[in-house]
Amino acid sequence: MNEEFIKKTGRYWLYLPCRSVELTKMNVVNPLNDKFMKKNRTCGLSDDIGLLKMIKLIRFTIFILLLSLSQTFAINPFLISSSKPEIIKEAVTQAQKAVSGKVTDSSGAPLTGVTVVIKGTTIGIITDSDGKYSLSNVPPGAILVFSFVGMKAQEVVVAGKTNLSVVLEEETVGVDEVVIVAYGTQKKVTVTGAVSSLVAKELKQSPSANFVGAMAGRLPGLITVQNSGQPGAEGINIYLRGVSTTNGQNPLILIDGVPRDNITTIDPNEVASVSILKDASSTAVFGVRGANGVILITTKRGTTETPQINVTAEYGLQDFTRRNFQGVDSWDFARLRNEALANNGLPPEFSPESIEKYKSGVDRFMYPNTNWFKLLVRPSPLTRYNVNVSGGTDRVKYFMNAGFTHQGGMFNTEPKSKLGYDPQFKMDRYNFRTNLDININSWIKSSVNLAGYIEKTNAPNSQDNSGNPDWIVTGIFRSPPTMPGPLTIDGYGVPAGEVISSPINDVPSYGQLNRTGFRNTESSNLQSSVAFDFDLSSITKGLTSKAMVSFDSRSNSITKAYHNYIRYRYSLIQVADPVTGEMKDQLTFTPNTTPQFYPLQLSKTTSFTYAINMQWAINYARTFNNKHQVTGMILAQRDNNEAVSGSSDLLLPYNVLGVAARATYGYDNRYLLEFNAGYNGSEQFQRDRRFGFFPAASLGWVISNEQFMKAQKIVTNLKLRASYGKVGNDELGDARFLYLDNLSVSSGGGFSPSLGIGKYINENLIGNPMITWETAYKQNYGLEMTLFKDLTFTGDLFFEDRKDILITRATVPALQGLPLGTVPKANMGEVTNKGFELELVYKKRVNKDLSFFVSGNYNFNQNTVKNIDEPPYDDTYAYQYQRTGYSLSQQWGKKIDWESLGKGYYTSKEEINNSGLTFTGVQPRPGDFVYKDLNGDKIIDVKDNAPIEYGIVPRVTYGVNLSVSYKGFDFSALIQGVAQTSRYYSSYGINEPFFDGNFSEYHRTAWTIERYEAGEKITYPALSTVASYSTTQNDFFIMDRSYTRLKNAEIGYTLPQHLSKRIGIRKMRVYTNGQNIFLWDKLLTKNYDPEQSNALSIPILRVFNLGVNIVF
Amino acid sequence: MKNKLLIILLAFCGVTSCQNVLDIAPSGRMSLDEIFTDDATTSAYLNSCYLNFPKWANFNSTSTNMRIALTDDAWDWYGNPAVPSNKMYIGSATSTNPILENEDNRNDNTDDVMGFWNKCWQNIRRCNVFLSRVATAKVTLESDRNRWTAEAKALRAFYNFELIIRYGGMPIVTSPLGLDYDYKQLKRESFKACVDNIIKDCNEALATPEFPWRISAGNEAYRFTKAIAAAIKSSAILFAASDLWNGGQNHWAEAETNTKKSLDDCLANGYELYNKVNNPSIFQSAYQEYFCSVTDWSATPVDKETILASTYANNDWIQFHGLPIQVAYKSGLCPSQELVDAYGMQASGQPILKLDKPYLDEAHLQPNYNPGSGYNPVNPYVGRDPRFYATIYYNGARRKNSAGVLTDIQTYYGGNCGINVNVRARTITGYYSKKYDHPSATISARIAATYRIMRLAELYLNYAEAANENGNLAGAIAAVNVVRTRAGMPNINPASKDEARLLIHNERRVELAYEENRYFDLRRWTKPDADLSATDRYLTGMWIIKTGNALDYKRFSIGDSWNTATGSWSNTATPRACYTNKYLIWPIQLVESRRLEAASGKKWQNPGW
Repeated sequence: MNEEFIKKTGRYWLYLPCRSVELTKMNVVNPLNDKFMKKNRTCGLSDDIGLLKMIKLIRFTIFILLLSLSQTFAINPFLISSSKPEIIKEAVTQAQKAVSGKVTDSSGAPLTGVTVVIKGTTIGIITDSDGKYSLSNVPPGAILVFSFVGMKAQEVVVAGKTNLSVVLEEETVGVDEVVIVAYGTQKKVTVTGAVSSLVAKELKQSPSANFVGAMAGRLPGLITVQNSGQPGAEGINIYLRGVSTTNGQNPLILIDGVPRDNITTIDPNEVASVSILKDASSTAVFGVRGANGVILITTKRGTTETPQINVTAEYGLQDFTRRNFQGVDSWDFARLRNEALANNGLPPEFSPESIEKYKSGVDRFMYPNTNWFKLLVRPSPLTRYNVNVSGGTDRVKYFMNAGFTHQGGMFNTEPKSKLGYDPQFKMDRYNFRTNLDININSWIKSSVNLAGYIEKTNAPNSQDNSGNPDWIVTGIFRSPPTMPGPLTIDGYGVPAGEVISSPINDVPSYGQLNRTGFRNTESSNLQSSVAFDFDLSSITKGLTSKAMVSFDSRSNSITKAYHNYIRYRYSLIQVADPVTGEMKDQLTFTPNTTPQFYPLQLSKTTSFTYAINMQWAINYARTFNNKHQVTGMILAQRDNNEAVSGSSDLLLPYNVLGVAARATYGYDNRYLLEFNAGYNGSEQFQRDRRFGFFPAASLGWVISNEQFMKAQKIVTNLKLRASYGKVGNDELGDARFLYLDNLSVSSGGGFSPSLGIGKYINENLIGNPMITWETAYKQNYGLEMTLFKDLTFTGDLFFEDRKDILITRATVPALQGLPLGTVPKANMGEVTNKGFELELVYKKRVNKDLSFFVSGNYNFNQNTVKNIDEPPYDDTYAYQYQRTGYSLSQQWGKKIDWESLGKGYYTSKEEINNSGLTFTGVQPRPGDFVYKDLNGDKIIDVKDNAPIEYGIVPRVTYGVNLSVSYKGFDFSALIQGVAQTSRYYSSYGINEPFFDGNFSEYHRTAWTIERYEAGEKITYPALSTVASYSTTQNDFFIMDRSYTRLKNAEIGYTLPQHLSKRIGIRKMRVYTNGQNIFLWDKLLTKNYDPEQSNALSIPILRVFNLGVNIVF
Repeated sequence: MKNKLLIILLAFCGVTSCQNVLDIAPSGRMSLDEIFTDDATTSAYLNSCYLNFPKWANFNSTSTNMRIALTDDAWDWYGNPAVPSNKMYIGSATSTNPILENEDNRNDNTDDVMGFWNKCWQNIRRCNVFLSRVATAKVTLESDRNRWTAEAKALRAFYNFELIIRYGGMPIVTSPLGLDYDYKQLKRESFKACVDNIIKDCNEALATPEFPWRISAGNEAYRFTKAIAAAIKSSAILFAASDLWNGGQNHWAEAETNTKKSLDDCLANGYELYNKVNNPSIFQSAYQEYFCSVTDWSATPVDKETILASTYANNDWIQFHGLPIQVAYKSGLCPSQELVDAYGMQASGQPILKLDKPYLDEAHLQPNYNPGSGYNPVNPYVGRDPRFYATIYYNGARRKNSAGVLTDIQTYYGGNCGINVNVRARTITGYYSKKYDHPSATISARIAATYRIMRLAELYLNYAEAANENGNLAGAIAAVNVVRTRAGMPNINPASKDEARLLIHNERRVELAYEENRYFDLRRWTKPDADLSATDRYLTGMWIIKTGNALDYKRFSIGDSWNTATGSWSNTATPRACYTNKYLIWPIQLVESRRLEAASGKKWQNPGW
């Protein structure tokens, strides 16, 4: 075969070295190719040249793959051919006619904006305001495709007609919907596992700079906790159905079928759908990695046959959800400080004259009233631009996306002109993606995905060259309103323009922000995958196979420029006037010479990591006698990847190997049976204990398809399903190879240089060869019901028993001499988890102008520790177990006696003395909490601790989603919330200032004898200057973190078709939306967003956005 | 067609084959067996038996030498209830908040959380692992093997000793406990049984010819020696015979024999008291010079007294136990009036108070003077034991200030180092500590001094105490007098065992002041059902009021301050809460006692915790 031959025939050949290959034209004529040729193909010759290259590549790959095999086995040649150019000519030469008609909905109302396309071409048109269309040059045998959002697409054969009017039916919820499941798709009606999903449109309503923020509240069973608002470092935790282990608790995330972790950086515009797999049936195929559930993200692919160019531009302003740290004014600060001193029997710090001066504002430098939050924080822009193009022909379909996100910093920084560099927090991210689908021939389809991002973040270097922004937020909390600044001014004997620090806090926010240099992080990530789908129906009908290789790489570079600065400590003291002898306030500054100033020092670290994933699957799907639906899948997978950072063992590449299988049987769309299994190995375990088998079975009964249901029109869909199975979790924390001993020789630092050449032996770990994965036994029961085609209810009830959790032995005494971290862990833990998810969706198209959609979900999970190897407390404790029998992360503390004489507070010294109680350590004062003596030993101590409220992971999550569209207007809103979660709060912004910091709003009405006697409301125990009897873990400071948010809302307006057409575009929509708009919570102090677990990190953001979306 | 299927199936298998991908790549891990196949790694393992070796003298801006702060010798003050010493004073210690254990881990400050218990048991295990394998390990020289074996035994004895004097009798663990060890067998042994085991280890180490008496090469500095083994033996038996630990038995005969043997062996092997002032222009006495010096390692050392030195030659004393004229960060440990009262008169050799009942009242405000001592309460700092001048800064003592100018220290109210109970840098007792403060040091040019953990004088005093209790009055007096002679004090000559006991106890207090011995001495002298109220509960200081040139010395309860205007005390003093008998023995951390109780089915916690 030569090039000549190829050009001549228009066919490309794949051939293999085999016995007796005779490449004549005759070879082409085999059943496969015949059928292929019958298909109408449109493909220009130039396409073929590109294809030629690609086919060469594929051919080479397959050639190599099969070469060795062919030597051993007798393999006949097979041929691959592209389309035949002659056919195109044939089609064009046929007689063409004009076709026109009207499109209406079932009520007879004309539908505007329906796309009418000649199938297999890019020729198409959109119906006008009367629902009319007209197409010229339609071949008589052509097929017209009518599609419209919310309606079932229809294909109509022209068959020589010139007038075609069509009635489009509304899409019924849940019937034809397809759901992405593990390694494939299933019709929603046949799914028997617990799977929830959402589609692109909903995600795009949330103007969150990261993708996870857009998912919150929309998927029943998904819990997201965002810890910080720092651009590019939001610290998000994701849980599916809560937690049920002490080890790795996060779900497995796959993007386009490959385990990938860039879930926060993915561009929402690229995402077609998100599925979460919750029960054993849907996750068993992931075997040893599936126990915490799986999130599947699928990106968009070219679907429409008319090319579509989609341009979106958004400009937003971002701000913190908590607009102020709620500090008090300087005069109130002074008054409250004196009150705290008085409570502890100490003389006042501020004289009435000074307080008056703070109030009058006579000298705002000496007697300031600085709101450090307002001084340092400002709203900042969030801009996003996105262009994507999708379209395709029968041969090639494409989706291309380019996105840019800029997130500005929220702090007032000094200008670059002054510093020479920019310390601002900010992030720029460029996302791109190209997804191609190529039909190579009748039985091979190839998909190529190429995606990536480049992200640049900038931040001040902050304290100790650490890049930790907590210092800045902490500094705001720690600066009292009486502190002058932020910079020195003339007239105090020190240079002007230098950073002022407080006598206690040496790391003032202003300096940390502006004078510590910068830290620039650039990360780039490339994700590529190539997949081939083989249609093997020639072997047997319904058989397909798929091979995929993906290669991801990530590089990261951090440029640090660090310098330090001299701070000037202020002190305001009273001195005697030399002339009059009168006491006066004096403000002085002392240079704090450590740390020394030094100029910028540059350093840089870079890293590169990769991940390779290989998959090969065989799928089978066939329906026999129109009644028996059978599908099967077997998939082999191999992973090889590197960790980003770490030391020692963590530097070694990670490997995963496994086989997954699925078999389903459906009878008449009524009875569904599914079997899933994963058999895979983890390198975490000893050689002969490495592979595990994880089976799951599920059943479904579609009652609505039964004969006796056909008659009624109320229940349009009713399905029951149940699943049971086991799944594994090999996430053992950061540690690897726990089955092996790990001793190493230190690199020095031994006690004596005369022994062991100055080295010593590190006993890092004694291996436990019996170590294995933890196993989750999961049950799931589900009910799906649709009434009147509009109202859908889905309910799931689940029970999970997580066994063999690898835990650190808690009953091995330290006395045996191995540090407890070195004692081998054991598979002893057991945690159960149970709960339910309820989802209600009501979707109604009232008429052609008005349609609306309401959905709500309410989810509950509760885990209980069954065994964590906890040694009991003796019977002098109020509670003998403090973990076993309680939720993971259950909070413990003292119970306040809210029924006491002073309703929770001691009212006098006498009451304390007469209580008959003994107190260990810090003694109570009047105004401190009255704790209950729960064990009855008349001593208030640790033995009285009791479980208080809940754990850290919310038990309840819920979301309500509403969208309405009326003519060109659309409105949507999402309310999201969590409940039954609590946490112990302490430190700045919670407690009164002990050594530094500011008072919060609720300290204003702290307990005083006057306030108590007057019967006024008391919101805080008696203020103190040091940690008091009250400031411990108790049911005041263990606060309820429940919240409800207006997570986002959006109003949009789409230009009428006739107007947008006039300016030459297909569609134009302008909108405004917001993220984290309102927050209702129960925290006693309003200084933090309840979602943040680290109170001193950068708060969570609120965003208001304006945007325009144009489709060409 | 079939072949097509076959190919795909085979490729499928290709992806799944290859189990080896899951095997670990080499990463430098070793197993325990591999360690003992080589000289270097075997001795490296012995090196790890010294891991986290106590450094003593653990103090910084917040923590302090707890075993000085928690005796009647000193009061640490910061005025902040979050500071460990203050937490102890207010009685915050519980088995879940074992302040002592965390503070007294005596390691560098970076490793505070680990706790003393864990540290001792870890090193006992390492010694056990080493001893169970050294006999068969590949070691080139037999002499190395013998020395290392002896060294590991001495180390094991040391860790066991440090453990039992804090927590009481413990299980005797002489081989590493396997992962499948049945803790049901585990039980607490008597204190004496533990001491017997310690002595056995020491004797075996002492019988090894290759184990040296003294380290004479710098690169072997701080390694264990026979002298250390001898000193452990001496102390261990003394503790076992003492009231707190003897379990009603009399072990004094054994104690006398062992303490004498240890003392004699050390003397026979070149150990002697530091007797000579090498730098008379700076130091008044050998005793003073000794504590401001750094241990040297040579065959002919200047310091032949030190048996075990802390690896931590600390130069921070001046900052954290310093003087206002040095602009110190805090006054730190302020010597109590009780300690000052313990120093006798040099001329008469007599204690200034009657040792059997030094104070007439509970609060120690009324001293019971010893009439023949020659002490003058209105000129109290004259003619005292020379060790007083080496240990304590008092009103009228002199020292270079931060500018290097020799200055009078004024501890009177309003003086340059004047008493003030509210200011961190000022004394709260009227005294400052001096023992490790090199007279030439300033806060900006600090001079390190070695903290001595075991020294020969202690062996004399151990023997004196044991001999006296065993009825050998003459032997006891002779030993005490050797120590007093070095200090420049006249001999004592008590007539009875009881009188001698008081003198010997007082001598220990004075000679070993600020060396962290008294914490354990006070406890071991106390019967298990008694408490420390006589010594630890009420402490006093000296408030000096200067009027013109006249000084008015007022004894007062620490924490009070004198209001000159009203002529009255503020009555803000709070007695210490940590004197009750549960404070005689440390608690086992709750988490550990729960583990032990669950694993062994027995009670482990010490009384009162």
